[in-house]
Amino acid sequence: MRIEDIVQLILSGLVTGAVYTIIGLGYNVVYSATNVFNMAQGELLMLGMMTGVLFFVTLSWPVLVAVALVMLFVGAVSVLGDQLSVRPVARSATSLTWILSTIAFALIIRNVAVLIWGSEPLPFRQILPVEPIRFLGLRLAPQGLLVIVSAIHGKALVALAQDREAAELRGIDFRRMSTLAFLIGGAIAGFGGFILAPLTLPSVAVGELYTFKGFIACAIGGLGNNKGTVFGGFALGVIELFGAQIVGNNYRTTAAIAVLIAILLIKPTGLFGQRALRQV
Amino acid sequence: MALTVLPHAVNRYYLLLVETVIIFGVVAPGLNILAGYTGLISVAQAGIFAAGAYSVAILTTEVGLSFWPAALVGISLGAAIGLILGIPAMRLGHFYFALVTLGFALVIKDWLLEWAGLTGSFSGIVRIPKADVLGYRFTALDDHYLILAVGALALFFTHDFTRTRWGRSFLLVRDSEVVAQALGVSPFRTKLLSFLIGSVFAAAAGTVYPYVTQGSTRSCSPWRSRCSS
Repeated sequence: MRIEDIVQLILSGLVTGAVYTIIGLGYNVVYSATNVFNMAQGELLMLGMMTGVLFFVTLSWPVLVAVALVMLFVGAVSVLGDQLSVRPVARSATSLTWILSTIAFALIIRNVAVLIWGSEPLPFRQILPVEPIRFLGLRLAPQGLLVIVSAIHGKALVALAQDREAAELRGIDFRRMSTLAFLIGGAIAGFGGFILAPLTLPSVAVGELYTFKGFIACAIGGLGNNKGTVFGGFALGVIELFGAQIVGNNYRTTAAIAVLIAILLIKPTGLFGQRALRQV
Repeated sequence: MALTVLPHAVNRYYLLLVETVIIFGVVAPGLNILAGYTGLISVAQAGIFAAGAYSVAILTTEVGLSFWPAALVGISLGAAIGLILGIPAMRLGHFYFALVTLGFALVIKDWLLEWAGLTGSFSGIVRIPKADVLGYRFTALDDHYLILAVGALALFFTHDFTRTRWGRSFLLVRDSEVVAQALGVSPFRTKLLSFLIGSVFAAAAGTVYPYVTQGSTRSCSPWRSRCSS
């Protein structure tokens, strides 16, 4: 393999990884406010794609209007998920029932989406020019660059939300914090879905995979740690692509889970995680 | 009782529906032991169920084994997966356990698609030979009783489970691992055992599933409301 090929592969890995990062950041913002991982995060990304199809392709509204509506809508669905699947079961602090209830909410989102959009992939319109940026013999689609930049700036957005939560911690009640976190978490996922859509074929089937991969991004970096999640997401994207080169494209997920288990066995709190006390 | 005479009373469609319910009714007690008694949430059961179903489908068609040894292989495979997946996953704590099992369910799906030569990929495996006993070949009616028998076994093993030594230790581990340790119950071994039981239930349910679909297709799971694609 030539050196340019390797760098090109890393670039593609970074684009994929940026999507994982965006989902991972969505997990983090919810987690830091509520100690819950919203297992519907990947389905929210899918919903971002599909509502993107509706507003941007079917209705062909201007891109900024479409993206704002997508973020608002997906954020609202996320808040609904909080109301339906997290609030009712989160009464006791040690209970893990929310894993099941948020998975259930994810299933509801997916099945409703299948009813609305069908299970076939849908075409999407290009947002940016398709002509790749060429640099030193490397190629990167402008859309890919946008995804990478968004992932890095998403970290700042999430950090802002988390800081605000920390600042308002003393005055504001838990429920409003939780609603805000779910709203932002959903909006991030919706935005991620919208900007990812031109790079892939939007389909209702992708959610589960992104739920898992985004979570691995968090777990690699340390749960709730934004810097770690950004690193974890990009690292996962690159590792996965190299793994796919070696063992075949259909084993990407296998490579991802192998990396996850290996890292967790070596360092259970993630690479950037702090030591945690075991709760009794 | 009603279920034993059912084949004579309703048409094939409703019978299949009932049989599907019974089969998922075998997976569910296994999950109940896991999630309800030990407090572990596993999403891997779909994949283990598929391993059981594909074992029977492949071994009876390609290898030419009869149903019983094939089912035994399928259940052993399920148990083996439970051990291999359980040992690393169990060390990671409850939440990571759920995540790793979710990953496993996704990975199994990839593999089943990838090994098209064995699994028939999207189209699945057809013409699976019926089970037989001493040369007597099962009919569709006997299949129904086979499925009922598996369901009855599952109920037999799980009723009053919380009163057994294992059952009590599972509950103890769920409520407090520290207390369990203090009383000489190893949380790790207890959790692994419960995952093993859950896996065996799922694989056992999987082994009879081909007789419902008449062609083992890719896994349907009790966690998912429809067959995943």
